[in-house]
Parts: sequence; structure tokens; C-alpha cells
Amino acid sequence: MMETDIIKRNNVRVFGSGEQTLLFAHGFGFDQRTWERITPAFQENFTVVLFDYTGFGGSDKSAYTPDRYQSLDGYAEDITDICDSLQLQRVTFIGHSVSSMIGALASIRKPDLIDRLIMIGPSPCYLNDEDYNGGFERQDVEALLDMMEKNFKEWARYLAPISMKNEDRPQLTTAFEETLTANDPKIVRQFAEVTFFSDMRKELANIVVPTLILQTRSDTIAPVHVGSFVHESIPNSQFILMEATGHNPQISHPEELIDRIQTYLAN
Amino acid sequence: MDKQLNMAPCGYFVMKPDGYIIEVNQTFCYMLGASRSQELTGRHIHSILTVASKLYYQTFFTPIMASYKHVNEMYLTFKLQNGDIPVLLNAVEREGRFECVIVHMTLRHEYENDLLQARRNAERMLQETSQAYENLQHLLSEYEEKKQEMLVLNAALQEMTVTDPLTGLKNRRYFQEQLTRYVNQSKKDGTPFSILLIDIDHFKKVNDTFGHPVGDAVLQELAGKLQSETREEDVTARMGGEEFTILLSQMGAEQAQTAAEHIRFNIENGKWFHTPITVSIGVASFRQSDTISSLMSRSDEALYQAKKEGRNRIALK
Repeated sequence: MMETDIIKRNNVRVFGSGEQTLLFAHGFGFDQRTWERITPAFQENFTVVLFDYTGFGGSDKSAYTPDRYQSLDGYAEDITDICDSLQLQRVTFIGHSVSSMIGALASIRKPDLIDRLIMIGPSPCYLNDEDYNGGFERQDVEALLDMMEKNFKEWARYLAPISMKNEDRPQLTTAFEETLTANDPKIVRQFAEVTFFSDMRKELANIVVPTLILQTRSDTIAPVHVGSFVHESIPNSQFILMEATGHNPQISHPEELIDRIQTYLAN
Repeated sequence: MDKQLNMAPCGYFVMKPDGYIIEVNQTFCYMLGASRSQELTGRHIHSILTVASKLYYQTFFTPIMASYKHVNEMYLTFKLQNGDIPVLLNAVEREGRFECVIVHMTLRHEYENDLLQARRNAERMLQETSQAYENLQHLLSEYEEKKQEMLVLNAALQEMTVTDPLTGLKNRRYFQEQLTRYVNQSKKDGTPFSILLIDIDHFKKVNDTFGHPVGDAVLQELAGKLQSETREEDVTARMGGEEFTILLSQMGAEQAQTAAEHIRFNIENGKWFHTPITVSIGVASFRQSDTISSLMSRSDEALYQAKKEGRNRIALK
């Protein structure tokens, strides 16, 4: 695929200035706008790369195929595609939630691309399994999928206005909203399934790049003991328990998150 | 809290942005099965949500509130000691607190579940149908394959039932079938044909001198020669032992005689790998008065005569 096609497909935005590149990757249920409180703090000293996974946000949804995105590998390919087309090397990958694991996969598949990983609220496996407490039973995840289906039209409505930045031209927003609600449930549902049924526990030992794990408190999606498990499984990793609570510190506690990342990058 | 709000026909609660509940109205307590508001205040919203709702809440509620300061019509399920209750939740951020209203949606919940179920069923049926179709296609191609195999096998079997295994020539059964066909044809339209009855001279001597394997090889060699002496439309068959026949299509007595002599000559003067042999040939041409057995008898008689007259010759009857 042509370089420009990837840029368009994944709605890639590059800004800021600096020799080091920070690649921010959104988690499930979000798009690149999830980083809007974080990136302003970095664009002065770093090159910042934002993107949407294929099928989300402002990406080209027609490029989505259920086959390619039937596992996290397809999403990891989005990352390597983007790095290749921007000719990026040695980037710092900052991934929220499931993107921590997607970035890890990309770093394993193509070792030259990613210099270090920053994982925010990672979980290698959401389901409980014998000795492993991922936090969820299969029926919990299935209930979540049902809930998403019932709520779908509602939150699609929230996603629409900003993504088009056309609040002064509501007719465009409505049109976009209709596309979104018409096309997305299957993509969103498949990403949810891929995310919540993924099991990356065995891959963790293959991560060779330095890794920072940023763990929040009272995170029911990726609880503290799961973050510790990730830390213990990745050879060259550092674990920080943040003051922030909840699964989305980039939204709820941007100051602390910025501070933690800056401190790590300074070292 | 204002009495009207306290008793309003909807659950009302206020929480801090970190999810801790500060205030609740009476209806909310009632909906959640709490007898006093203190049972709920101070608790985290997570503690009264089902696992799935907690997941959903964390993934969507917090980000939406952060961006829009309000949430409308979010479907969630609250966890109760004796069963869960589905609710619709509206929330708005005011003075740094989240004010939320919930209403029961038991009926709509059932209706939505029915819809979801119906859609799942439809999807499943579609999947089953296409699966069944695929299986059917698979069976069909398997059937076609087997049918082809059977046809090939049948043809091979058919071939085997009419072939003499030692020489590869047609056998007596095939010869008799063809003879019947020739006789019927000739009776219908008068098409002439003849038969040659061929017997190796002193074949016993070949077997006694060189052994049966060489005897068999000689039979095979003769079969090859007879085959090359005849035309496509003729039938060359081994009747058994050292006796062969040729059905000469569309040949009357004279032509058959010439052909027989030609064959005999070539056998006598041809090159033989093991040991040279000669043959005696009885020739009989079909007459309209003939039956199969009368024709065969005449060819027998002709052969007998050729033998009697000293072998390595032909005789016509």
C-alpha cells in the first residue's frame, strides 16, 4: 500500500518538533482524540504521531476487513505500516489499555521500529484462567457486548460531532453519524471481542525493549495485580503505581500522566 | 433534599467525578433495595454495577462526561442482592459533581432483549443455512467424485469380464456376444461376415519341450500377431487353450479365405521369440440359413479338415 494511503487509512497526524518521536495509540472505545489533554505538553520537544486504528475515528472504514482484524496482530500491523510509511525508527510507543499489547506485538514483530514502550493500564488477558485472575468471566464479557449493542446508537451520537468538527454544519454531522451508526457496530464488536478475549501472557517474555507500566488505582478493567503480573513477565520493565484512579488517566488525570511520562523520558 | 425531589418517580443520585456517591433520593434507595440512604452514600458507583456495566461505565461513561459534561440514555445494569435491575441513566456535570437520574427499564429491557435475541437467531439461522448449503455442496462434489470413480471402476470391471487375462485379447464371452450381434445384423440386412477358428499345431509339444511359462509366452506372442493382422472392426478372441477366433467383419467366403491364408503364411514365416509355430485355420462364412451353432459347427469342421489334411493350412466349409 502507498505511503499516502496508510496516512489516510489511519488518519495519521504528525506534529511538534524534536528528534524523538512519540507514537500515541488509543485503546478500545476511543480514537486519537483521547490524547488531546496529553499531547500539548509534548509537542514542543518531541515529534508527536497520532492515528486511529482502521475502523475507528476518522480512519478509512472501507479498509477494514474482519479477516485482517480478527486478532491483535492485525492492529499491530497498522502500527508497523504507519512507522514504515513515515520511515520512523526507534520511536517511543505510548499505548493506552489494549494498545499496550498491540505496541508490544509490533515491537516483537519488528524490533527496529520501537525503542521503548509505555503501557497505560495494560492487561495481557482479561479472562480468568486457573491460577490467573484477569478479572472477568466469559459471560461478563458477553454481557458487555450485549450492553454495547443496546447502547450503540447513543454513544455513536457522542462520537460524531467532534470527529467531524462540523458543529456549525449539523447536516454533515448527521450524515456522518448515520454512517457511523450504520457501519460500525460490527467493527466495534469485533474489536471488543478481539480485545477482551485476547491472551498475550506468553508473548510478554518476548518483549526486549525497556517498558514502563503506568498503573492506576481502582481500575476495574486492568486492576493493580494484573499490572504487577505484566511487570513480572516483561524482563526489562519498570512499574509505577499512579495516584490516578480509573482506567482512563489520560482523560481523568492528565497532569499526573504527563508528569510520569516526562519523568520517564527525561531519564 | 427538597421533598419533591426526594420522592420524585425516578432515582436521583449525585457523585463526585471519581465515582463516589455523595447524595441519593428516597426513590433511588427504594430502587436499589436500600432502607436508608446511608447504605448508599460513600460507596463507589462500581460497587453497585454488574461486572459488564462496570466495564461499560469505565470505557464510555467517564470519557463521555469528560468531553461533553453530560450523558443521555445510557443503558446500565445495577447490581442488587436479589437480582439485577436494568436502568437508563442521564447524567450532567454541575459545579464539579455528577448529577444522575435513573429510571427502571424492565419492560424496555425485555423488549430489547427480545429484539437482540431475534437478531441473533436470524444471524444463527443464516449461518446455519449457509453452513448447511456448504455441507450440501461438499456432499454433492463428494458424490460426483464417487460417481466418477464408480464409472471408471465399472468400465474396468466391464473390461475385465470380456478380456482374456493371459493374452489381453477378448474372451469367449465377448466373442459370443459379438457373434450374436453379427448374426442378427446379417439376418436383418444381409451384411456378410466370416469366422476363422485358429488352433496352434502341436502346441502340446511346445509345453512339453519348453515348459508352461514359455507356452504362455507363445500364446501371448501369437495374440499380438493376430491382433496386428486384423482390422479395427474385426474381433479377435481367445476361446481357451491354444484356440483363437477372429470375426471378420463384412467379409464373404472368398475374402475370408484370402485373409486366413495371409495370416497362416505370416505365422509360419514370421519371427518368433521363443520357438516358431504354425497354425491350422477353419474358415466359415455366414449363410442366411445359418444359426449360431450351425456356423460354429462348420468352422469346427473346417478346422478339423485342415488338421486332418496335415496342419499348417486353412480349410473352408
